Amino acid sequence: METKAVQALPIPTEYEGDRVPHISVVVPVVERFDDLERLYKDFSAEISKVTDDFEFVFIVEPSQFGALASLRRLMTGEPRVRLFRFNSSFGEAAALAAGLSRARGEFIFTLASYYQVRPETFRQVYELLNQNKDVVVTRRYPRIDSNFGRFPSFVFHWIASRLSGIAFHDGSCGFRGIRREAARELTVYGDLHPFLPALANRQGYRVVEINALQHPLNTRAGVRGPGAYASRLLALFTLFFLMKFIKKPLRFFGAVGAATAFAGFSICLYLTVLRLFYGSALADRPLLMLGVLLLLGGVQTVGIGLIGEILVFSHARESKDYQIESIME
Amino acid sequence: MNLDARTVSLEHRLQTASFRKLSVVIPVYNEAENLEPLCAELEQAVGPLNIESEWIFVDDGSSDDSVARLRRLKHRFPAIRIVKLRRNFGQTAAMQAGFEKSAGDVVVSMDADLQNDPRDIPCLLKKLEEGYDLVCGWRRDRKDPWISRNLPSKMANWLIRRVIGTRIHDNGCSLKAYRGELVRMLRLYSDMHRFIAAVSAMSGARIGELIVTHRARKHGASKYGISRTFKVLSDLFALKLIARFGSKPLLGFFTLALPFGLPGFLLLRPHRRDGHKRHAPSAQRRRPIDT
Repeated sequence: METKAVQALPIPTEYEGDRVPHISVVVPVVERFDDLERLYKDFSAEISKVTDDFEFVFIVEPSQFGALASLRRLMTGEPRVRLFRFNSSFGEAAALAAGLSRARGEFIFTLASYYQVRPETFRQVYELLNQNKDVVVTRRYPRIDSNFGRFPSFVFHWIASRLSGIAFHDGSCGFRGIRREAARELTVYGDLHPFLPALANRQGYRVVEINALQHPLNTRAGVRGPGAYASRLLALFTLFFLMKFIKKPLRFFGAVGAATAFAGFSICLYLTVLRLFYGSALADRPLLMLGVLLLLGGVQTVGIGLIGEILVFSHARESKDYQIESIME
Repeated sequence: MNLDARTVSLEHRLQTASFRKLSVVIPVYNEAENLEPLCAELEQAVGPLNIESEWIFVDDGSSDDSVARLRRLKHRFPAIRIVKLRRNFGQTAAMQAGFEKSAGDVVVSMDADLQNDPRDIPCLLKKLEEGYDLVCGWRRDRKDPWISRNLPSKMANWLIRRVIGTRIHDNGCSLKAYRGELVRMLRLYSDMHRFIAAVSAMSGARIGELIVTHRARKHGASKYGISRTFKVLSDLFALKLIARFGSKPLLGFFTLALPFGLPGFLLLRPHRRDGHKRHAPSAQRRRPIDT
């Protein structure tokens, strides 16, 4: 039984110490993977046109340990490949976060473990990072795979774009470029990785989305069960809350709770009047149950908001509300 | 603001030694036109004070050329320091950023829109030396539209006075002078800039008030509207409860639960007096209420 959350296999010695590669590529291997050796060859060939100073960081979940054999093969001849193994399945966002914090490059790229975009996309993204952009995300467009099942994704991205105030269309496209400073500050967790552009934008980083040519082998339709849609919906709600109320929970819970409690109070008041002045019986009225339920639920909700408020208040010193770009003395 | 700040006493409250360094913190959001006259006025007001000063302009993601102008002005006014935020984070965050970068043992915050008059700064400092930790400006004669700005502000201030109990007439005025220690202790977040006096009072600060001049806006547009009412109410409610129950939440929730729990408890009394017959079906019990 392993005790550490992430266990590192031997790190190539050339990179130890203060040496910082120019480019890091983080590959979370979580849901599925294609031929990783070929993926590595395609992209490293493209990166080599710019610089030879790069590293690949693979983060592998236990469910995908089938990939380990080919990765080990890859590592034997390549000191530029680093491999991290999760000892439990924490999900894509966790793998991404682990990779981002371990990547040492100046420009950090994230890459899906299966074919999504053509390797030439690297050049476009690299150029934009060089032009002072902090985060570059890609959108597979035009699509060559089936349009079947694209509608929920369209709705999802439309809502997410409206909520966050920044337009993005392909959150599940894993090829992104991020400057190291931004990568260190970004916190990706839960199911929030599709919202990376929104989260980065909220922190004040310069985010752009570009169209990327889809890889010809990216034809397998994404298989999504109802559970995946439910979790995406919850993620949307999380995003909504993060964007608007993370520092002011009472504004949200207070409004919802007060409205509910008020409705419950009105119902109970109405029933009280009926009982006291018109003498009608209450026991067989479902409305009584509803009134009591709404009243209690509303008060509970306000209470939750208050607890949140106390938490925010007492942790205010540890959190930071702003990001400084530069200081001129 | 942190809760444990309440226990920290402001030791030098009684000292009246004059200040060594003044930091002026000015959040800037699209105020390009106003910056040059502001700097000139600041120079006039602060220059004769014979005190080292720094003017911290916090650019809150302006989309105009505010930062470029400040950079040019810096050649003329070396006291200028510019803190540029990555994007627009709001007035409170900008002020907090400025506070954290300030080094003075006295800090003055003010708006960049020229509605505050820098000539009030010496008076504020004087008042601060009388032994206060925070001196708030009071715009008694406000030069703003009555319906959209003054009336809501008056109501909000009345409410804050009643709820929090600080005797400050104008919580919304940015022109304030703080002792450095108080500023380092403050931790503003969200829209807390309206409640600086309230949270300072919570940590035991002595708060004074001084009538300041208020001028009508010349350049640029106001960044506020009337839409804040609900936010202010919610924040106020939260702050009040935190002030009272923040360190003893059980008491707070007990108080909240009392109106629900107590009547329920009282209703628990035995329904009928003929104790041993309670479980027997009774004609009387089934009788409709209205007979």
